[in-house]
Amino acid sequence: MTDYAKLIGLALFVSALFVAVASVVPPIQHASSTYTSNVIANVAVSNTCYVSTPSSVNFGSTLPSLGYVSNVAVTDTDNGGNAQATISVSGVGGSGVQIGDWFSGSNVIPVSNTLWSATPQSSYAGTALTNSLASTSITITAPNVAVTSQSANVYFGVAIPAGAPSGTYTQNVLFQNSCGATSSSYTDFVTSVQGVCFVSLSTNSLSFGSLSPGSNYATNVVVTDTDNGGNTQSTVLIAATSGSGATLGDWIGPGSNVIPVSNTLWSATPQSSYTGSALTNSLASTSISILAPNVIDPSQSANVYFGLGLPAGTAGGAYTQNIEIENSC
Amino acid sequence: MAQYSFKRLAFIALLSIVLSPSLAYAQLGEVAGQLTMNVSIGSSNSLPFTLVNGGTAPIDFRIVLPTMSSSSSNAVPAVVVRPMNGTIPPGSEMVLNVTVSLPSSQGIKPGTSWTGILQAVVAGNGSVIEGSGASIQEGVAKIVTVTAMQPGTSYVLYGIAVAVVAALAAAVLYIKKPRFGRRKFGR
Repeated sequence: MTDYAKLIGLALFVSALFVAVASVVPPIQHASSTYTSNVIANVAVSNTCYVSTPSSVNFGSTLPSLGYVSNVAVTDTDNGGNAQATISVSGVGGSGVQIGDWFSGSNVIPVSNTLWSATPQSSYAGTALTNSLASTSITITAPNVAVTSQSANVYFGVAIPAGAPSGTYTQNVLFQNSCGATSSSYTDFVTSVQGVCFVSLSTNSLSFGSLSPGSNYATNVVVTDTDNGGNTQSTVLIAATSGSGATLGDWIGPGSNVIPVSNTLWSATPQSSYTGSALTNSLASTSISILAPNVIDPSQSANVYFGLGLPAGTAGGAYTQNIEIENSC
Repeated sequence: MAQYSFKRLAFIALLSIVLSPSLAYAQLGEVAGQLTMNVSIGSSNSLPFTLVNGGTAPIDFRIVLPTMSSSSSNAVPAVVVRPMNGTIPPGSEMVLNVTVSLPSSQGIKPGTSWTGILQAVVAGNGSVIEGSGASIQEGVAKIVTVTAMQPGTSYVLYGIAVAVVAALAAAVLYIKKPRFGRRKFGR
């Protein structure tokens, strides 16, 4: 092979090598040139719901045997979440069998006396609150970029048991919003139970039958005075209110005949004879007390016994007297 | 069978209607505590008196005003209660307003006290007695205690008086103060 031929072969080899390298190596980029490249970014936005409720809700002042209809609204707000939430509620606080109850010192009102409802009620109605978390099926619409805060109301009512002692009662209630994830908030329910006493008489009439002038009826005709559902001790007062003027309180008979008011006697205990304290035409304390009812014994009562003496010479006929029995606390 | 059930249901419904009035009951109550108020002589004071119906039937009531008495004064406070009667629905409260006024012209001395018993009586529940016997009415009573206080100072009048005196003083000072234009210079 001549030198000329070798030179040509070397040139071809170098050319082939250049082509091969150029096809593999990317072109050199100059600063003034624009080139593009794709970068894929990932972020996962999780379903989130928040919960916000008032720290306390004051139901106000009420009485034993009464309470509140189920229209006390508690607003549960999801501020900044992004998913529909379902509200669950539970009474918490306390211990043992009293978990979730209302407390006023050592006095309690059962947790189940609190009712909840998705809508306001005109009566004490709804589902009983429990001390374990229960879904209300009330939902809060998912907040979004345009509306970042959404809320829903839960309506509560409370029944105060007959005989519940007076005092300020508090119940701690857990609100939990659930959307896969959960958020919790606690609200204190507060109510003040006042002292009260009631009066209920076993009869509204007394009959001493037919008596002869100068005779009497033993002080044993009973009237039972009952406080059903109060929570405060009361004192019994009595008076006669029939007649007027000089005959105020007297037994009024035919014509202008009367039997003096003081001929009616009363006693705290049954008597076998005509004895006791004279009735008057002004309200007087009998010193008879009715014990304060309580939750275990919500009804307490006391008896008042009456007797009647007829003065000699009392004109014949039917006589009537009006007696008032009043409780005071 | 269906007809029998219908008859039975109708009978139960009729029985319920017949019995329902007897199952309804009324129970008057009062919120505990005395009505104790201090009243300035020549003035008045008010307190609430709360009645309660703890039953299932409405209660018609009427008020019996207290006869106020004192061991040291013949003067008598005026007691006004509003309303004097009414109907309390079942399971409800009714708040009455009790206003006591003390006259300024009857020589009442501060510290004088009166007591009386305010009554709320269930209206018309005393049975009518055929022949001899007593009808009994039920109610609740509240002891009212009133204590006379020194005639109160009217802070409004006091304020007006102070303002008038201050205005007069300012006017006098302004008149006596040498005016700028009357000053003489150069001497």
